[in-house]
Amino acid sequence: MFLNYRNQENVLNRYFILMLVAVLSLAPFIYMVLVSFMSLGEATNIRILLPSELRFENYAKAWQQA
Amino acid sequence: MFSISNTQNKETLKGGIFLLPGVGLLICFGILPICLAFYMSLHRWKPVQGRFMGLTHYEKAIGDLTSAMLTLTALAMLIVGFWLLTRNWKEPPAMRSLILCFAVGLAMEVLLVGRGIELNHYVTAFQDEATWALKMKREMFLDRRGDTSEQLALLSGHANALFGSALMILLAFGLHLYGFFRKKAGWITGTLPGLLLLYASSQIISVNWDKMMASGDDDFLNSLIHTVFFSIGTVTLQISLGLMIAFALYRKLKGFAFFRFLVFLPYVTPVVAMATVFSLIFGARESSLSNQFLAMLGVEPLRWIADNTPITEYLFGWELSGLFAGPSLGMVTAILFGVWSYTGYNAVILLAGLTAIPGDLYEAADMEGASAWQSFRHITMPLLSPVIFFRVITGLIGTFQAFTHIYFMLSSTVNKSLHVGSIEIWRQISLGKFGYSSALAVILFVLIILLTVAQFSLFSRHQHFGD
Repeated sequence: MFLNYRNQENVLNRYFILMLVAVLSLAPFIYMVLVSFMSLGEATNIRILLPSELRFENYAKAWQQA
Repeated sequence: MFSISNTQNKETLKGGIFLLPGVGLLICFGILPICLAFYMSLHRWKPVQGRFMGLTHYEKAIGDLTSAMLTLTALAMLIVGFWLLTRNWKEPPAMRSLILCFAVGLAMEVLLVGRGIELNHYVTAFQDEATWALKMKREMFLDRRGDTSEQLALLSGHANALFGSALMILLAFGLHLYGFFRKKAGWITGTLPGLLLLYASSQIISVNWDKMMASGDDDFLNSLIHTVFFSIGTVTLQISLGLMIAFALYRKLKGFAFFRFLVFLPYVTPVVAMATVFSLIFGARESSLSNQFLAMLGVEPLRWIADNTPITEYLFGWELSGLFAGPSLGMVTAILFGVWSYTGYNAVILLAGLTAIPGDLYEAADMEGASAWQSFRHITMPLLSPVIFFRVITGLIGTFQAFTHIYFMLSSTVNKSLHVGSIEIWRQISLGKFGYSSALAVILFVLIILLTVAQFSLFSRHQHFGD
């Protein structure tokens, strides 16, 4: 496996593992960002992955309320 | 002579004065609150201080104090038994505990499957008797309840002993064979007393735990079990996965910094936001992301976070309850979150430990013709063990105190199996029972300290801190 430090063949294995980890750690984060642009109806309906339009007013609202 | 000690005294005084602000802060915000919590736990304290109650709160929480003490002693016996069994092994401690945990886990599992079935049998039998008794218009109040639990404990004890002894013989045989092949078999000095201790302590724990459950606060005792599930699940997974990622990042790699950033990202995201996102992803509804993913694979939708069904029922179809049923599906989701947010942190810490190992050791091993596994086993593992030890200790402490993300994943009272220790403490505070909740907090505190001390006494001797 990738225990062997001197072997350069396992670079592919390592990239594979790292890509998998990167996708897994990024996915919820990206979803959070996407949800931040949604309207309330879209955010609670989880079937919708992409916001219909980029609602920057969410951020404006959050800024004003803080 | 006198003058030297005088200057020493002066220097000590100076140092003490410099230390004073730090010590003062520590006492004010660290030690005093702990003492206050202990003080509160001895009183009736529902919003305001009431009368002195002594240990009543503790009795209410863990039930019979003597059986609680016996359980703790049996836990200590378990550790001694472990030590006796593995004293002569040449494996590194992590390997040893892995082998033994696996064996004991398997033993417990089989023991309690048998027991679970027997218990169900007795429970139905008893219910029949109880309905009959009601028909005969007998008094069936509090005293009777005490009787039932004792009978149940006795009956289940019989079944337990039967399965236990059969299993321990098997286990002893296996371990003896193992020791034989290692030329380390020491029946009289190690294996036999160790096994006896393991067996006796498991019996004592199971009987006394039943007694505690019968007389104590079920919610709190169950929450301790949930805490153990959460803690063990999270810590083992996050450290093993972190080690894997650390190995993948170790040595020259293009895009190293980029991947390290990505791996570390979950640790810096705000917990509250991510817990909310996770409860959306692992929602109970059929349309939640994880269920849609399952649907793509053709699997029935699960209720994820709101599911109290233990996973052993999903995996094997066993109908157990309590400690031996394993974590519920909701708890597994919480563990997934814990793993997701802390694996990257572990990976970075372990990576730092890996890079601190001097490369010439590997070169020397290479010259001697060591295989990759051998150099991992004899160079990497021993030199990395202090870092792993540190992460296990801090991880266990952290997960025993875990609150935030579980609190945000809770949906009202649906998922009771997610109530860990700190959630239970918070629940009691929200009910206004300050005294009782501080008693629970003190119990949790003592447990964490005992756990840490046990780990230190077990494993710290085996650490290689580099001579």
